[in-house]
Amino acid sequence: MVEKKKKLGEFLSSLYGKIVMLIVIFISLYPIVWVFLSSFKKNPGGLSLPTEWIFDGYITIFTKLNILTYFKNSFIITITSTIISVLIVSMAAYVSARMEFRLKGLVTMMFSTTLFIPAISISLPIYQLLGNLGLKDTHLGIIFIYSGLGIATTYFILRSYFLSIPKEMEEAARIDGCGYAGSFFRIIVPIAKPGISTAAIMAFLNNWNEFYFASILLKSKEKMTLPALLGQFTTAYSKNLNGMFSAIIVTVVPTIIIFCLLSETFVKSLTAGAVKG
Amino acid sequence: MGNPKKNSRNKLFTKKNGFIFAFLLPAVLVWAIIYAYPLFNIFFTSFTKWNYKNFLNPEFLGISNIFDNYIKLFTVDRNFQMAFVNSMKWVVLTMCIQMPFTVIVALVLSKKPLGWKFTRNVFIIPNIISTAAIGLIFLNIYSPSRGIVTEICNMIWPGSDISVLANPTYSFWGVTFAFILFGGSSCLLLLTQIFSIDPAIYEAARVDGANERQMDFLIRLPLMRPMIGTVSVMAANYGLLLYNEIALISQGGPDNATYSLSYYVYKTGLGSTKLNFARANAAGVIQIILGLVLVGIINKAFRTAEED
Repeated sequence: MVEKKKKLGEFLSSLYGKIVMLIVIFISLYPIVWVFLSSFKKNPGGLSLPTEWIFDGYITIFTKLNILTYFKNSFIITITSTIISVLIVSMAAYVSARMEFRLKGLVTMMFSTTLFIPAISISLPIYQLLGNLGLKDTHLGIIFIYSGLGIATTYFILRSYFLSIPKEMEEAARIDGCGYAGSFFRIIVPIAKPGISTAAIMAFLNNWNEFYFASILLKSKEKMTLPALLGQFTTAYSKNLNGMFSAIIVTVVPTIIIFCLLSETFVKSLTAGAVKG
Repeated sequence: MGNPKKNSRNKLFTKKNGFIFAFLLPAVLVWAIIYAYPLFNIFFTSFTKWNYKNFLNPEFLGISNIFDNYIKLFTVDRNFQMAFVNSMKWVVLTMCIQMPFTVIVALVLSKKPLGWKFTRNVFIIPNIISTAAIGLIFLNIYSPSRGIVTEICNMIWPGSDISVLANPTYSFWGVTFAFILFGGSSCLLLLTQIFSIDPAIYEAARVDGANERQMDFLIRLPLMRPMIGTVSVMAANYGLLLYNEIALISQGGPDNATYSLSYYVYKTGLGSTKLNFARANAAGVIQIILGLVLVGIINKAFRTAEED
């Protein structure tokens, strides 16, 4: 009797687990699967499966819409800003992890404040400042903003990584006649590669997906990033349904593929990014 | 002539200082331009009269009515009041829906059933793809002509012809369900915390005859507490700052039913014909203060028990 009850309990709990997992898989995937199937329909949308498979949307976005231009824009902006932010923040994080100086606490405090300042709350002065500098609607302006947005997360990931590297490394380098900057770039950066790539993945992901600043700053079509282009579909391109569904798929699929290939790396980055932040 | 040894140490000292300065400078400069200056700017201009009529010269309001913008936000500005209430609702809803859901999923996956890694990774996908894409997807899902919600409602309740985005209440829930179930990265963090629990504790509990459910409630949940706190801060913040989903799905509408604080800041400072920069910045200040208060409350709720 007791044995039976225990078996039933085990069965129920494994059933419960399976149901929860199925719900999770369903809610995470149905929006994308629905858009994917719809993108091949003559009249996108609805619950039915496509009766005949049509590729018009994809053809339109690659020929008329030139989606590759937006990919290129997104790529240039994201790569450049990620490199800049990881470079400058790693320099600051290294100094604060290794050197003794006055105001050290202040530096860490300064960067931590950014965790509590939402970008949208302070976006008007940034917008006006870029306007005054003539950087509105330029890639340079948006790269500059992206270089600064994730400063705190990058700082904490890198600082804790630098702290974990034994000090003897640089001491040996310095005895061999390496300067401070030399020992940083030649000794520390190669050792800290795992930490740096963790921070870089986080920064890349955030900048690649950033929508708000892209949508308010980039007004000319040929300069837009992918998220900004998607924003256009609510207004300018709203008539082109096949194009919209295909554009969504073309935008999200590369991210999903890269995530599937590098899921362990991503998982590590996401964990580090949030815990340290 | 001085001591050569001391001299060289001095030189070293300045060289080191120069290095520290040079390495800190770029990041601090970027920080100053992107965070510090705008923060001071919105704080000070929130005490001015500054709108589309005096675009170039904000005027200080004067000591006697220094809080004018703040008072107007809470007394006469209907859009702001709606935004404030909605943002608070979204914070509460992330706490009441997203957090429990994510914790349940994390507890299930922590037993490593068949396919747990796959489920965990699939759960992360909505968090790593662009929210602009998610917003656009849900805009289509809710569309009466091409979406699925109207069609499904018509199956259950023929002739209902629900248009999600035309009705204020449905529209609010429409925006809510475009983000609230997507707790994949939070789930990942909770899992990391569960996996770091010493296996000896489970062994001991098993010897005492505890079943899995008891271990969930008596071991895993209490030990997850600090991480639940961390994750709650992030989730609550997301609710407080909601913007992308609104901009793409409902544009704050119908009327102002789905305004959030972030959307209010955008609309008031950039996205309408009668811009009011001072008031948008005052709303920004309020948003920052609310964020700090939230972090304080959540930290207190999840950390005090640990210190007892």
